Amino acid sequence: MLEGLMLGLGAAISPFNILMVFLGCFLGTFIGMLPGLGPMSIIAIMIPVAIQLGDPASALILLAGVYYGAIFGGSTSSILINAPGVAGTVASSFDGYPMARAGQAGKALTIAALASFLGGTISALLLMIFAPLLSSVAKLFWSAEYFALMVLGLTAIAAFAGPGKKLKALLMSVVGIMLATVGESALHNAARFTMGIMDLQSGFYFVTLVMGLFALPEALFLILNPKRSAQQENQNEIKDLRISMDEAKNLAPVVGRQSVLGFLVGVLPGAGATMASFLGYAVERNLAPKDQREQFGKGAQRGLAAPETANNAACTGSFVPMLTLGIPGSGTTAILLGALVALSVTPGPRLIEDQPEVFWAVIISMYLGNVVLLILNLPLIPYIAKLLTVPRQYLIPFVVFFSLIGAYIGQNNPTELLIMIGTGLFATLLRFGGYPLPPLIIGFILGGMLEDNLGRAMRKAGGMEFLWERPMTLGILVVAAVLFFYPIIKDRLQSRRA
Amino acid sequence: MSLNADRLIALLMLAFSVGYGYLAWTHPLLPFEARQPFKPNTLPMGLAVLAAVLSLATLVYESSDDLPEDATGWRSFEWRTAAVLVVLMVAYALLLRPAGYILATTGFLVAGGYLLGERKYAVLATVAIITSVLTWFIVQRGLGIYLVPLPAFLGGA
Repeated sequence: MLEGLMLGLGAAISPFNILMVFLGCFLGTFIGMLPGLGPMSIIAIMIPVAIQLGDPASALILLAGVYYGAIFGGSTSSILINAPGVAGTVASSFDGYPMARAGQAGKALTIAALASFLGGTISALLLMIFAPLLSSVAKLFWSAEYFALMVLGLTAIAAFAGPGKKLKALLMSVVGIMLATVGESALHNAARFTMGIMDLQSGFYFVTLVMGLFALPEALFLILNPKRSAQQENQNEIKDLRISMDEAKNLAPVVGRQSVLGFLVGVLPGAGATMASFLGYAVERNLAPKDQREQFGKGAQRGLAAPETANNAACTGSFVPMLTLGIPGSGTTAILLGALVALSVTPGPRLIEDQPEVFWAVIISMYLGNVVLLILNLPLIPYIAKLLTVPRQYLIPFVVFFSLIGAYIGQNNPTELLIMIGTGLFATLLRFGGYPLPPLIIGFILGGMLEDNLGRAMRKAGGMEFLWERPMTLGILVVAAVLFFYPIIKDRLQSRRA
Repeated sequence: MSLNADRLIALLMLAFSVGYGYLAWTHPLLPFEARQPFKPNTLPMGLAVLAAVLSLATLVYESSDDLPEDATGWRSFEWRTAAVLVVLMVAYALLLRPAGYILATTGFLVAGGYLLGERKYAVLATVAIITSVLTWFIVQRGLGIYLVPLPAFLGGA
């Protein structure tokens, strides 16, 4: 392994490559802050530039910088303006945005940057040690297990539900899955529930829904409730980046656990950063001491550190199936796989033996992206956080404009804007009724994958028998049930004792 | 028990589940699909039943007369300003293509800023024009995504 590591280092480190990683991180962070432009689209845009470089190591280093930069940029817009542009950073907004609203934007961004960095570091170490072994475990997962994994992801709704909101949260996640069934599915060609609207043929566009559910209602509430705007303007500590020793001690176990969990979820093809971030959030909420658990959704530091660590660790984990099996586990790794092939590198079981320098260069370059991102972004955080001091007469129209244009450029279709405005009004009404919105978007994101895997599993088994006939499926479903019912039973027992 | 936003949404969800369930039930199946264990409407029918049960359960067990945090003080909210902003958004969506990106965006940002109390017109117009031209340049030239910059009569088609 050490020999391979040195080979990778030799291929990856040179002044030119260091310049490439800085450039990639810088571009990725700023473009990633625009809602609607996630790592996938930014990497796709940068591929022609990377291929022009000729050298696979330089190209990969540039793309790695863009990748990590885009993820951090996405977290920034989630935390500062509640506009998560990509699914992987939705969970970061649940506690990151309340922290920013409470005047702790600088601290929230620092926690996000450090948690991402540590998640990336620990998972890179795990990748080096376990990559060959894990690829054989990932092969054991079939549609039935993926379906069970989606159900496990959906039990995360238990984590988002405050007291007296469990049924509402469940209802919202079911509505989210319903929205995901609109249009064509991977298993059936005929579109469903489009009501004759051609623009719904391929379903709802993720960015349109997420902007409509989160960014627009927030902008509307800032206008509707003048007190809310006043809170926004009275922020003196937004540039304060310091994390105290006690806070660091409180977050350390979260980062440790979520690095391992996120990495393992990332290894499974199809699960990826989104699932890892939701699962991480749910697990940490259940494990948190009671006083901290009640803070989840209101600005809990653990609630921000968990998804940030897990999604970065999962990004590293998703390289295991890509490099060792040639199977891209996510949209982003699929595009990176395309870039590797264009650079005459063929990922697969023989890569580590045939081209060890490339295998290790990919790992080293991913890690280099992580390190440079931290060096580059920590000093920039005070300036990025100052975004919140922009007067409301500029901030609100700009947030609305960036949300609208994020939805528009993804599809180049003005109907998306009308769908987004409709979703925004509906989401505002839901907030008036105290219905939690995160479960709705989780249901929507996981809904498509859930239906595809359920369909495949049922076709293979000829019915629902796979639920109890496959031990691993049954095991995951039991874990899901425990994760869902444990907090309910615990709360009941505690209230009885009291 | 009064009809507040909480209960109104539960009822709306119930109606939505029934409508969705009806569409799922009547979804036309191809002959080969009808014989498969997993049909295009298998999951939707299950979801419709689940959503209907959950809507009713929410109505009975979880709806309350207490106002959630977001709705506290709703009588003193600035409803008119929010409504005008929504109208501006709809106008932006409808005018984006015919008026062109730069004109529509500048107009939206100026109108939005004015609506929220900005009266330094020169600053507002300058910020709006710079933002629209800069974002157009980044999206069109940098990212290669086509955006009509100006209306057709100014040569923007």
